Amino acid sequence: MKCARVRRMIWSYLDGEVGKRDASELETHLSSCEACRSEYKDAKRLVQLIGRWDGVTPKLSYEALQERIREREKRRELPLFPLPRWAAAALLLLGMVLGLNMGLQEPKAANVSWDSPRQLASLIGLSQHDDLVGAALIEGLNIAVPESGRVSQ
Amino acid sequence: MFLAAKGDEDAFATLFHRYYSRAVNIAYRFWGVQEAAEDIAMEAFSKIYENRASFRGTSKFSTYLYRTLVNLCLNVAKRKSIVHEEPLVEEMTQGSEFFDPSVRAEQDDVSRQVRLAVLNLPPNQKLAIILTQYEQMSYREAAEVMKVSTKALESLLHRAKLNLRRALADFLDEDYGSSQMR
Repeated sequence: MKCARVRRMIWSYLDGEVGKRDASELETHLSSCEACRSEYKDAKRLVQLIGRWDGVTPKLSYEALQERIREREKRRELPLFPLPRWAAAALLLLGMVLGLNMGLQEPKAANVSWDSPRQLASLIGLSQHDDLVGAALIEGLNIAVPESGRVSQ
Repeated sequence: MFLAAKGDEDAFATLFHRYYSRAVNIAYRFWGVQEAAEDIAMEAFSKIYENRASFRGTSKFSTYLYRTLVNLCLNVAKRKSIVHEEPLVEEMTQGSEFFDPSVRAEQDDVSRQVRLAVLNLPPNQKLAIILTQYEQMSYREAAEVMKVSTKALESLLHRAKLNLRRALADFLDEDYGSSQMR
């Protein structure tokens, strides 16, 4: 067995992953090759070092798991909306149909006409409560408004 | 597991008692903090319990459990890597949500360094080391748990051990080794 192959196999050998025949050849090589033996010792020392980190003893018990499972089941049983699934699905479908319907509707053509700034103010929504306020605004801001007019949309 | 799948609570409890400690230690060696490890192990058992009816028995229960556990470890690692730019180990030693006070009590410098070296490995290399070196799984078993080929596992192990050798070079010194390793 050549050095390169031995070095590739050292880790597997230490982990017990090498077949008997290969293991035997590797051991023979190690007994006669100082460089590979040194490599092997390093690898062995590393494996021993890795083993220096101890594990832990668990603190939680099976009761803790049961509690956790109960909590999860409780959470799953609480619906997001207090509605039966069929009702939630029906509402969703209704919403989608209405939304689609509104989206497909073309805006209606409108004929708008006015006879005074006050009426125009009312038409364009400048005043929600008193058309006088809107008219005053239009006049106050010197917005050029024809006394009367007509617009087709 | 088949009994547990049919709703036998005692059978599930037996599985828990048989594997919980190993599951905790796998997660512990991945995260380095016992509380986080127990949380991940509990989560793995909860998931298995929830899905017990769908267990088909195509693999051993232990493989099924460790695979679930490994996925949880990796998923948490991914989430953490988004939040934290610094290596987790740095945070743990400097006091963070993952800080484990018991680490302070760790007097043995060698085991502390080994712990840090293992925890600082990339996730897949770390898992390969945990499963084969600490859990004594064969390469084939570990590869099955990690869902990789045996060749890929060997490659991960090779890189992991090179990294560990670099990180622990001070302790691999011939003189140090001969005095400490006996």
